[in-house]
Amino acid sequence: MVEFGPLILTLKLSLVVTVLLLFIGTPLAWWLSCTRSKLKSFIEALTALPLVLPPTVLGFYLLILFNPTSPIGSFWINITGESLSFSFFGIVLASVIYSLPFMVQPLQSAFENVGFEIREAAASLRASPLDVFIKIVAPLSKRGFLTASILTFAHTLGEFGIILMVGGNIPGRTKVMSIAIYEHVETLDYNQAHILSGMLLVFSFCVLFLIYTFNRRHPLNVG
Amino acid sequence: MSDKLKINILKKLGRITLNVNQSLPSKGITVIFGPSGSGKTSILKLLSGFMRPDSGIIQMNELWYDSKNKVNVPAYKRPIGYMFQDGRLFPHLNVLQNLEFAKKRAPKAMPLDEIISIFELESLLSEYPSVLSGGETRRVALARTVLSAPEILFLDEPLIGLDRARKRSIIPFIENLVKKFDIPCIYVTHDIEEVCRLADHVMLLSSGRVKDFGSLDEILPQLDVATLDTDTKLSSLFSGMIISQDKEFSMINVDIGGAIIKVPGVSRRYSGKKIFVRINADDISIALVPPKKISIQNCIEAMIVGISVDVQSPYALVKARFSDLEITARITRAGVKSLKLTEGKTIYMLIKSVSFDSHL
Repeated sequence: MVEFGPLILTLKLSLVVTVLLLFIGTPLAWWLSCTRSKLKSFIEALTALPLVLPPTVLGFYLLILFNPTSPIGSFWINITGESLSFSFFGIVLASVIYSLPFMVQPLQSAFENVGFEIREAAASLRASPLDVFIKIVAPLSKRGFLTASILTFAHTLGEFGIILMVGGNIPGRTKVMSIAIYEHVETLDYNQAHILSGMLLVFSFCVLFLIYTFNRRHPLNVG
Repeated sequence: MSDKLKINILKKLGRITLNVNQSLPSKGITVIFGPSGSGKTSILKLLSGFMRPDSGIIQMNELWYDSKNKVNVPAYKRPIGYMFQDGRLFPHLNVLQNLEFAKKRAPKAMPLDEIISIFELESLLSEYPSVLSGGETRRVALARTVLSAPEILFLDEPLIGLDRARKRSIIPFIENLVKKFDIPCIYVTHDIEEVCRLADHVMLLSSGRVKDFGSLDEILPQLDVATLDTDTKLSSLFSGMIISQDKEFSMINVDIGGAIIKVPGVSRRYSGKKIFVRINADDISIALVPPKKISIQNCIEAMIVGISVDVQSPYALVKARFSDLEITARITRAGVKSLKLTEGKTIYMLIKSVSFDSHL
């Protein structure tokens, strides 16, 4: 008997996180690519932190933040009536923080690659900064958006430690594929572990393969 | 009718400090001329708002920048058109879309079809920038800049990297657009031919400072060796007047400061018209008596006003004056010695060849 619950939950989590991060990461990456502020290095370091911190460390701090007795945790309970820790929203929030660099860094370098020269040219034709971003920078960063989204999606797909710390292992709410596999291995149910692992492997490969194929067939008109 | 562009700015740029206090005319083409690294492009960047002065004022009708009153209008709100050295077309838009980008954001409607035909872009409209040649890119970039309906046009070495023939094919487009749309234009270059061809006024820039400013005729005598880049040949430049044409031998007689010079070629211009004549320093030989029985047609009597010798090199530069004009010759140091050339001596300069631009 194959359980589809963890698969569906994992896909839902990855999709929600990727979409949320597109909205959060784009302005942040744009700001980082243009700013001359002294805060830039500070924000860049903060954004890159999840790359080097063990998921357990990040998960530990988030668990404390999400605790119903903490300001954030109690605020969440007040407006939703539910606890943030061990909930789907909890792992969404944790994943957004954990996958932030996978969205921001490719976007920032894509925006920077467009170059200030083209931005100046657009500004000299009276395009406002937002106009320049929407009509010039974003279309020229198509590949950057694609890469950032794939990396974020794939990274969330394979998350384990931070979800275990913040979300635990609640079927239908926080029991994603990686955790279900871990559980099957723990209980020596190698058969189920094989099925889930195989599904994740094949699915991940197919997504990447489709995107690389698409990328080849639709080259950008960039000389 | 727009007002003069008033500039009074100070900006530290690495080793040099740009210090410009000058009003630029609101009509015609003003060329900023100077060697590489003199701060020419930086002036345009400061005027357009891509770079911020350390202090000062920039004003054309409205105040664009004023350090005292903390005014700094962002580039996209200044009524300027800027054509960059490399054209900077948007690579993801085709030619027509590049042009429409400018037209849509212009404060007043410019005639798209007319501009397309002026710049001869009809056959290029659906092409992407990556397939355009250098000359085509410049024409599209010029058209795009004009379509944004600027009150003043900044052209930053718009012809750099093009060969002579292509340069000459683009220059008429620039002349036409300034005349037709009556847009004042600040033009940065270090190419002397572009200066002679296009300038109404010239601002000579050297190490961040204005060495001189005036009409082309006033500045022309100063456009000598010192201001030129090394890639330009050592030459003297004169503004002359056509006095007659010898159709049989295809020669033109040109009066430069009282001396008559025979220039090979046929001019489309009539007698009495002004042309520019260039004489390379290496094409001049020096004699102490007027030579006879010689094929060289041009011989000018002049007085030596300076000899500069570089012991590292076999050559010497001899500067001589005729009428009130100066001409430079490069001969060997050995030649200087054997003729016993000194300052104040009268010499005869034999000019092997004279070049002039038939378009001028």
